[in-house]
Amino acid sequence: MRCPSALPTLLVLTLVGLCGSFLPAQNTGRVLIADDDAQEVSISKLTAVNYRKGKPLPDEVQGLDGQLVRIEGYMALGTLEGVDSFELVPESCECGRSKVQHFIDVTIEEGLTTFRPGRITLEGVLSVGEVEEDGFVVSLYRLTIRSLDDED
Amino acid sequence: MLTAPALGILLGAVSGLAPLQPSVPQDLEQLITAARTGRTVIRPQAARRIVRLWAQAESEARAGIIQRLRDVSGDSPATLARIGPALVEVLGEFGDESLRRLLWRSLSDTDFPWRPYAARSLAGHPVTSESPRFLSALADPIPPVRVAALLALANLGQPDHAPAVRQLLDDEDDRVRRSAADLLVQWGQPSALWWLYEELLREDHFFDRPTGEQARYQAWNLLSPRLGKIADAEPYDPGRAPSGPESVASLQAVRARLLELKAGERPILPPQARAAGEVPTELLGMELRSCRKGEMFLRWTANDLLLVGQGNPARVVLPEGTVQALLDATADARAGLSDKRLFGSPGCDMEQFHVRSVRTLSATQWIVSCGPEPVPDLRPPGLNSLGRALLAAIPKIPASEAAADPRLVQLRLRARAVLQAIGGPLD
Repeated sequence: MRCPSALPTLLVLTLVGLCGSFLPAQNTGRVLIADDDAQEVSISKLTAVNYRKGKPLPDEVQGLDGQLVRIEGYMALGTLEGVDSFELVPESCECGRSKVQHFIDVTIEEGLTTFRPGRITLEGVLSVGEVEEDGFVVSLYRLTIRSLDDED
Repeated sequence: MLTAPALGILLGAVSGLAPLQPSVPQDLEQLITAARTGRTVIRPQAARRIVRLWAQAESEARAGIIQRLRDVSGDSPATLARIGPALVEVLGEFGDESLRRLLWRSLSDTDFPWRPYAARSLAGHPVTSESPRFLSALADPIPPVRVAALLALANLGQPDHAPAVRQLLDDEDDRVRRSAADLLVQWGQPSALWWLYEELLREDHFFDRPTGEQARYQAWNLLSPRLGKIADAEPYDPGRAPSGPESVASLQAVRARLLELKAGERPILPPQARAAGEVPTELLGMELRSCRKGEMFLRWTANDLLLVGQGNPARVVLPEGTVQALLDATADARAGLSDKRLFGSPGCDMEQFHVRSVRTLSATQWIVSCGPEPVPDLRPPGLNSLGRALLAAIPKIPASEAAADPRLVQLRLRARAVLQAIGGPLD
């Protein structure tokens, strides 16, 4: 399971598309959708939580669930090419990525991954909470973005 | 890969209170497999489940679990390396002397790729007779090993080692400084709170990575539980720049609380522990992280400084024009790399080259990475040229300067060794 809040995601992205102001991206010829309502969230804030399975996350982190956010980070080094998801991490190294609170599971709705080594900014709807597979917690944070081409 | 039904049975057994029944061997094999080769995020959880499986098992099953772990671990650092970091990190928890001996042997082997994991494994349940070895590990070249040694001393509860721990307040690595401060505060030395406070003032970056912000969050995690609620000011928010107007009053309130907690006068910290704010524009950089040789962070700035380290870096003045000449000399090599940015595969060894365009101020990165096994010809010729040029641009540091700042000791020699350990020889 990737994102339990797919419907709100679609609604929000649709609203973004309808209401957002359109700005030309520098040097790329792409069109960026700017949404002033997107909340800036630091990946350090998310990854610094003291997490234990079953322990409630801090209120200010839980409160981000379902919110439209803008967040900066790095594609994990293990990112595969040509898939629809990747992990966003605070540093582009393998340091500490094995802990479930240390990455954001990103799902791309349109298009596929191409690895980018530098810092990227993503905008999308954040989902917060434990997702388990086979009894293991496989993610705490999930972000659904429309496309990597919108990345700033 | 574990299937849901198999894991369902397994989890029921592990989480229940009743002693485990003879299904242990099968469950154990599944968990060992998951800890070695499962998804990265699953591996430490699977390893932790083995510990719980063992803790809840009856004595015969316990002995069987330990024997199996001995078997998979082998009898040398080379065989232990093959089980992967997640299992290494828990082996110290089984109270087994032979596993513990193997962990110590592996920690002493500088070629063992999972030394931080072995150190944490030993530190979780240390025994008093190991104190001298943990004290030696406080000087280990790899920062996470030093952090693990601090954890061991904390778990041993031996505050008479406070003088040795206090030396690490001046460590070049911020993770080590924070851990040392945290331990000293635990041991009744509130003056160490000032080292955590200093981290709240950081605004530094390493190229585009907000290292200062990361440090603020980590330090605040340790500091805030000790401060309690401060009523007279807005709560401090590590996500805000410390120089911003919202932070000034909050930080003032934190300082006042530290005085109430008898932290004493705010000390003058050594350069490596001091918050630095922004640094001059970096144009070239090398970020080297080796699982065997440790880490180095080097940057060359537009105004001809070589910056060594993160946070408040050591500054080495270079002859005027050095950095522009470096950019000119490496332009062809960089152009030859085309669009490829990642060479090798993810692992604990990584070298990252950063080049910032003077015109657009955007940075480009090339990453060379591999796991614990060396990969021949990993670094492409273009990055070999760039690495050689950067290495040659590290000047000989006068002994007096190196004595004043440990980050400058044998700088070029150490950088060459780390580069060689990751991407192979540059020549």
